[in-house]
Amino acid sequence: MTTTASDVLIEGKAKIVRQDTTAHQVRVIFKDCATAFNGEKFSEIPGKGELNAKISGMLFQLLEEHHIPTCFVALGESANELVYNNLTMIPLEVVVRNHAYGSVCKRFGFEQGMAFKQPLVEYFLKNDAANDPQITESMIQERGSLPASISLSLLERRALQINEIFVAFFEARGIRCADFKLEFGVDAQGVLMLGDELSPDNFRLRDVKTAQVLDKDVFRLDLADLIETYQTLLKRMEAPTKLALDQPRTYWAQVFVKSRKNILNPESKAILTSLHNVGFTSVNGLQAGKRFEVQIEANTMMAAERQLLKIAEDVLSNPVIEDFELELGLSGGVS
Amino acid sequence: MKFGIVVFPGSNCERDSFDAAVRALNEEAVYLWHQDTDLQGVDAVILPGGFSYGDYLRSGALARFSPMLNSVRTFAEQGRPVLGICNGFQVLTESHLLPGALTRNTSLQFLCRQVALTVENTKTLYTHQYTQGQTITLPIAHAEGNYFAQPDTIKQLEDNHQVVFRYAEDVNGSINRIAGICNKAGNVLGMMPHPERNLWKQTQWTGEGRPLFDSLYTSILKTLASV
Repeated sequence: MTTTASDVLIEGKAKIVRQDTTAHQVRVIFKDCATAFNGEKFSEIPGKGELNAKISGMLFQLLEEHHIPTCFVALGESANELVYNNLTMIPLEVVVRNHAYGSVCKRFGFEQGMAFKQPLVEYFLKNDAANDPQITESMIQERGSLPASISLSLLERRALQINEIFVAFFEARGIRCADFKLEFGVDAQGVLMLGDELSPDNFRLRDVKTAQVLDKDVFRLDLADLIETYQTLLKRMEAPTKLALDQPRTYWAQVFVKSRKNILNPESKAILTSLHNVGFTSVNGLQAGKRFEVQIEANTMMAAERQLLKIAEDVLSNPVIEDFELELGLSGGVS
Repeated sequence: MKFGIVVFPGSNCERDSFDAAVRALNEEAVYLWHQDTDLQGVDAVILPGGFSYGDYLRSGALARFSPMLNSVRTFAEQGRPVLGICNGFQVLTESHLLPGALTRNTSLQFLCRQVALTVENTKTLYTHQYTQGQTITLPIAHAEGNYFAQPDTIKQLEDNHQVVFRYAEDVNGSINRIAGICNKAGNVLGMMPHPERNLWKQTQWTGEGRPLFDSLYTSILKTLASV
């Protein structure tokens, strides 16, 4: 296929995004250059684009197999290209950390390589000029960074669901998945989808036994040849090792059910009237609802979510008159 | 002819429906236990009033998941008659055999009294022995009889003449004063008022609920004859 300058939608530090002939789809070309420290360190590395496209494609497919919605459609015509569904991107970097490396050590004084008690999720605003600053929930709200259909708790849950799969995938290959960065977007229907790329540029991956660095830190810190490192990683990823996600584990969830907005809820109205009768006249809104605590077994948190959505929609709520919200976490997180 | 009356834990009107079949119509009736699946060759199913599963979660919600309801669903999908009265109506909406939902009465009170209804559609297998627009009186006994559905569903119900009974005046907040509806095919009827509790009039089986069972009876006779 011939490309013209006009079909380039965006060109970033690592990728070029072109309009595909199919509407709603884009072709993402992975560039042969490496940058670090927000572009301060820069190098042209032939072959890197191809490796990153391959590794990203593999990891997107891994997530899709586990029912995580992603932008991934297919491998592209050339080896350094992937076909994505076009998403409206959320301008946040979602970082999941299992072990302390890099900036988190500087910011909070953690010892390099220490394991966190449970995976941490951090958010950074995508803004090169401001050096991608860390951002809090209230600041995300202030800036209106999230689409109306997406809550921060959903973003966090999805990041942890992805982490669970990556940790298991790399663990089965003797690799520690220490941390990684994700970027999300929404499709035309407002559904949350994982976007961006899943290359070693965005991960910290270490050999469990030798601590060998298998990610972009080799370039950041001049530790080894990037291409050789990425090739080693790809080879280990391609090994037909079974994913250690066949053991069911227990997840805790809460389902909140309440009347839909346009539905008269006589119970809430009666409680409100009673409050007024006893003098609490300052109460001018009240909505009664139900809360269910659910313990559920599933092989992954994403599988648990899929089951819970069905349970909440089919049984715990009546969609004709009620809406529900779902919270889901690892043991002890909720409930 | 055999009527099947489904009994859930918490049903309390199964005897009235049984009597409608056995004593008013002189036909056979069997109780169908919620844990069973065998419909025992019945010609019609009645989901009676009461508080199935203690009304836990939502009225009618848990009855939907009983093994017997699976058989009833298949039966209904075959076009066979299924009548849900009061809690039976709630079970039918929760089971999606009828659209909409029955929510708390706007008064928040349990209403137990006689109400006037108009028969809106006499072309169903349950109502052809009434006259169009006839006003009848039947008892109601419910706390959750406030019929609700989204405007497009209500429009469909009205356009297709699926509203079979309407309260003469507002009793519980139901949209369009809907008291009973049937599915599009007309074989599934759900209604909050109790026709089986108005079969007698001055020691005769001539109560205003009687024509409903007579209609159903002759409808079944006709299908049996055509087979």
